[in-house]
Amino acid sequence: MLRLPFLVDDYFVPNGCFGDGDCQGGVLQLESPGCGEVVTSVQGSCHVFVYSPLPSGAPGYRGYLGILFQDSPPGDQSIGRVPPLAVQPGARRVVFWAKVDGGPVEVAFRAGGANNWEGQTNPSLPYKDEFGVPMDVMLTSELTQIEIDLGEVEYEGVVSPFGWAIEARGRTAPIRLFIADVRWE
Amino acid sequence: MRARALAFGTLAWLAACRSEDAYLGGSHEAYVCGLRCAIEQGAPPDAGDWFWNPESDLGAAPEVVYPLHGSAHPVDLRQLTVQFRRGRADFRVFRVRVEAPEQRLSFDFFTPCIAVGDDGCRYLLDSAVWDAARAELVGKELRLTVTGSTAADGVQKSSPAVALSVVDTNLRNKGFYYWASVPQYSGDRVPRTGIFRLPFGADQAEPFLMPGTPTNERECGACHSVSSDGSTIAFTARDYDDGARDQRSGSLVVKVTAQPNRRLFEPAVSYDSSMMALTSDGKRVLVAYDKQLVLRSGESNGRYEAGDVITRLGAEDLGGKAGYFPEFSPDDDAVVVTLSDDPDSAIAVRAGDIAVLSFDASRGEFGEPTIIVEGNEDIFHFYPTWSPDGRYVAFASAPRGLDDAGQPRKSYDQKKARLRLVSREGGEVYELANATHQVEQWSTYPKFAPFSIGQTGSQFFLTFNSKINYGLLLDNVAQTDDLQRVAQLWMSEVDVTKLPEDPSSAPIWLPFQDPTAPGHLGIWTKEVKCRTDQGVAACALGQKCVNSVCVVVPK
Repeated sequence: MLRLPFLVDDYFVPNGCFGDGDCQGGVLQLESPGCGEVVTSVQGSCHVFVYSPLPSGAPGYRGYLGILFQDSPPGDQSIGRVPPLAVQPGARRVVFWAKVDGGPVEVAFRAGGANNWEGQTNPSLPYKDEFGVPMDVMLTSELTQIEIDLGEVEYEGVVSPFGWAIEARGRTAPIRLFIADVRWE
Repeated sequence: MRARALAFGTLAWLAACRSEDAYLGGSHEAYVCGLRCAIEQGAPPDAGDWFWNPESDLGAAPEVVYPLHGSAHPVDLRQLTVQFRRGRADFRVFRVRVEAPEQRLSFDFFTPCIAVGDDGCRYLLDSAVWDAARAELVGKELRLTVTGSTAADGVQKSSPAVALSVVDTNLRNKGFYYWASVPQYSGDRVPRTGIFRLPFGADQAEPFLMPGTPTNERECGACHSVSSDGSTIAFTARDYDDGARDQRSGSLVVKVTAQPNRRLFEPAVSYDSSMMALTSDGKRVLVAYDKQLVLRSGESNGRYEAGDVITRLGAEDLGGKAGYFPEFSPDDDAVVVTLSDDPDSAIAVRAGDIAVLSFDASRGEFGEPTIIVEGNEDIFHFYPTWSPDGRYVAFASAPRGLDDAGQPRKSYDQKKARLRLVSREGGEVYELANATHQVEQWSTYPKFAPFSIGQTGSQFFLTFNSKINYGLLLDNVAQTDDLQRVAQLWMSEVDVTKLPEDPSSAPIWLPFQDPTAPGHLGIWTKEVKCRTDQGVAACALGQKCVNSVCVVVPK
């Protein structure tokens, strides 16, 4: 069982990608760990995600892209096929730092929600989170500490302790998202 | 008499309290967290006031697992992840203290237990306070302790001290090239395997020569050499299925590091490269393959075209043996090699001596080999590397015989390899036992950094790959399957003024790595050239190009 507090990057990886082009063909670039000159006095890793939205009508267009952090067992690691990890009960919050280049960009952050994003579940898949706590934030180029309240959440296992999604909303220019030091506390 | 009795009574009461693990209460001067203190998220603002009671006798104390006892930490290496077992389960706050007892100087970092594994905690030193600490503590004898505390007026218990030092170095922006296999979490999810590079101090390595790209059109490129001036890289490019299992396939590719999308000459279609060495300026490359050493030109001048063969050394020139794992001396006046009469494959031997041959760079001629460490029926030697002053050679040794699977032991992926040092002229062989750290953990492929430190230039840095544990974050020793163990790149200080004692320090883990991704074949250069094959002079994220050299942007 994972004890609290823990760094999400110590146990989970950003392997649950969904959205434009099924994340193929350069739609998502993941430069990590390390965020270059971004100043963060942090314990956990810093990630740079670059989302290059597909233009409307392009093959594979969905108009959004998201990433869920999950465990990385051998085999299929797509969303719904990764089993949960047991986590010590009583977590109060997920806390992390984030910013975008330029901006503002609205980012839908989430704790939980694997194969259960806004209540949508594919019952044919073996695993899902029993909870999903959303947190929509308008990010700017200023690094901001963000907190997702887990006070009302009950869980035993956690498939995805953290994730994010961005709606392109007609943008096709790359969106560069920095996320650092994701912790469950 | 009454005062003495009162004092005795008080002491007895204190001792009783301690043994019963009661809270003491009382008053003390409030701790001021000034410039030599940091309080981590999740620790209480008054954390400094949790650590003034006497040590408890009850329960387990924290135990520092990393850094290793006796390690030497470069002053310009910004990150150090302290890893410790928490001890008592009711400890709520921990104090990581780095102190110079003689100077009565200490830096305190207060943190909750950021959990690792069943009973471990981690704390990353990477802050302005730690920057100041390294600057102030450099050159002093240091000790690191972790103390746990249960509450503001609670009990506390400290770990045994770990000795370490912060050494005055100038590693910042020096180049480091290494092979790694980094997992990918999107796209085709195929691990990104190839040669990465970074200027020292960067927190992220840049994928540099990646298979299946214009930087390496073949499927694999692992064995590589980089000139110490950072200008030129050579590597063996091969496809997985184009040769026998002994790796007698692959072509030599040479590129200037500023333009990794361009080759200096067309690679051969047939086998002509296994392992190689570049001269310090990258103008010559000595290639080991097919039981011979072949010197080729890395430049086009009036005499040679790039890729031309200048000379060949076969068994008749090498005492009846074949040459492997060459490396040119810092002044390019000699080359050190492994000589073997019992090859295992194109990249591995089962027997080996360490030998030095003089080299005349202007004429492209080698002298007779002088064996400086001779192998025998019991032991063999391999992977030699020059100290930056050219006076010493570090190398790996392993016992001959059969391994656990009943196969003859070989130099490649050798579990029993250990690190050693010898003078350029030969003579006594010194164990680098502190650097090796643990036997039978694959501590091998040493490479000296091409620069020295210290007033007499007697302190060097030796990088190698090993499957020792990285604290609690990588538990290789607990793995029962060798294939599950992950090699990582480590670095040890070697101070030859300590000879004949072990001149090496306990190693440090190089912090730009991913402990889940293997790292091998680390090679240092004096600088990292900016790329010029992408339209503009370019460096990786967090770096900028200054006078054609990539430098880390200070945080």
